[in-house]
Amino acid sequence: MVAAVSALLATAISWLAFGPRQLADAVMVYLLSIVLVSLRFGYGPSLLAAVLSVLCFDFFFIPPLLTFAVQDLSHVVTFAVMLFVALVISGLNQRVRAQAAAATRAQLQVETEQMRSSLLSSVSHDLRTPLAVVTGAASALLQGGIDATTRRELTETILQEAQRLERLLRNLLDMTRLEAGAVVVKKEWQPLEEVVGAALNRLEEALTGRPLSIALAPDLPLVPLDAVLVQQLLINLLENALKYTPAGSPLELRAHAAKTSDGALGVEIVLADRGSGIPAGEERRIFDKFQRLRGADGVGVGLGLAICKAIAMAHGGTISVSHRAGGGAEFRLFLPITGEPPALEVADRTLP
Amino acid sequence: MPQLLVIEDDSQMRKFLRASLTSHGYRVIEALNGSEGLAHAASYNPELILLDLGLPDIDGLEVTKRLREWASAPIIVISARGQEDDKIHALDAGADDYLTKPFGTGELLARIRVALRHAARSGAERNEPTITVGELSIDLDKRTVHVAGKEVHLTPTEYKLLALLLKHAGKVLTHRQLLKEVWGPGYANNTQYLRVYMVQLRHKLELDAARPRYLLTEPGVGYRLKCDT
Repeated sequence: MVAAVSALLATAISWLAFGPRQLADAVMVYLLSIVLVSLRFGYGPSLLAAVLSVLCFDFFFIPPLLTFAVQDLSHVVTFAVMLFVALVISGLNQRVRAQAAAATRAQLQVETEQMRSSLLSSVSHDLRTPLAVVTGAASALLQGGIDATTRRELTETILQEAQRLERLLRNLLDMTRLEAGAVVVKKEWQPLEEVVGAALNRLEEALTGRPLSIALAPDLPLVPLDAVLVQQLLINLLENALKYTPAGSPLELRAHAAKTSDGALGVEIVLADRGSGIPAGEERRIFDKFQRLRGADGVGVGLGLAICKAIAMAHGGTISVSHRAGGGAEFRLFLPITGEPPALEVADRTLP
Repeated sequence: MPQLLVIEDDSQMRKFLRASLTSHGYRVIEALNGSEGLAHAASYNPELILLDLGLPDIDGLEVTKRLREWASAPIIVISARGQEDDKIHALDAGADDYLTKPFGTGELLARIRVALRHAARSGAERNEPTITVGELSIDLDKRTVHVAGKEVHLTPTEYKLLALLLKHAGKVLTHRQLLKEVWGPGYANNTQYLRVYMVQLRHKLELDAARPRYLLTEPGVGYRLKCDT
């Protein structure tokens, strides 16, 4: 297609510019068109363009005109030169392209390698620390000679560190599976209230002593979502808030029907806290993998929010964070509503 | 002393289960794989079976099915997180409940107590007309429901759904099980009906429907009416 267009264009240009007399100039125009095609489209199209150009040149410029017949043998040499030049140019071009691609790949590999090693060091640190604590505490218990209070403390430490390891592993596995595309998003129409309730129930213990106000709009529509994934998203958001805001500071969870700026319908879920907020310029970065806010250490590898983002995106939704008026952060999750909700025939009246 | 059968291939896991169960007054029989589990179940006739779904020889689901061909003892399956489909299949094949690894002793013992209680109750004639869980109570003869002493009016479907959950208080029921019982076999896949009715029930029965105390969702699996054990 490209080759045909280029050959025809070259023919038109040379014909208009030089007429059927100036053969040398016409050849130049053809060569130029072949070079352009090879620069832009690679080996195959440029070869085809060369062949087509030779044919057009023969047909329109070589006497007898408008036939493929050739009277002068020297014109056959011209054809051969045209083909040869086309071959050499596209061959060279092809090699340059391959080298450029290899260079980009190498660059990418270096970057991936760097990321992988920083990931490895952060993950192995975060895995080793709780393991070291568990090993230490368990061996102390085995040695004996420890009073009952300390024994209880050590046992509690083992449990807490094991739970920390579990969270870490869960996040790592979730992230890996989400990235590998191994997670099948099973969307079903559901009331949002139910998913929120399930997430809060899982965090019941962690939430004790935290004032949490919940405001779900009474007219929330059903939303097509994967309950297991969205529950995980909400759990991660809430765990994040619990981790990064002072104990006892209030949290607020709201949800309402919403519309994006380009008119897509959906629901917006907002989790607002009264912590120290997200520093300006960090609002996007905190959703990247292995990114933690400065000054926040020993609390995870920085995967929780990246998982939130991956789950939101798997639903065609978005997640963002902004400054909250009066101090704190406000995380906003938008889940789009696409398709028709199932019809419910509810012929069911309250018993007398 | 109730006798439990533990079918689990991991030795550390067996050690943990043995330690926590024997210290709470259960006698424990151990099986290292599915075929041994089936054999032990037949020869010891345990009162409850704890079954790991990931066994080296026979698939845990297959073990559940074969056990259910003749055994009525409650089966609690143990599975990893993310295996929601396995849990559902095991429950639909006749398992009574599930535990997700990792779990603590508290959760383990609570599930066992609930399962044993249900087994005892379904064995005996059930003659008590009222069931009470926390502040919720239902009178199956009069078909009335009370929350904290105040009568609540339910639609026939809401009532059927609540009665079913209360009869199985503490146990997880899959979407399919609930739909088949309340709406009929033709509705086994209409989970949205179930969801909408659960929301309605929560608004009538719970103090805060977004933070339910009784009608809990098990995402991807089903529902459980929570009771203190």
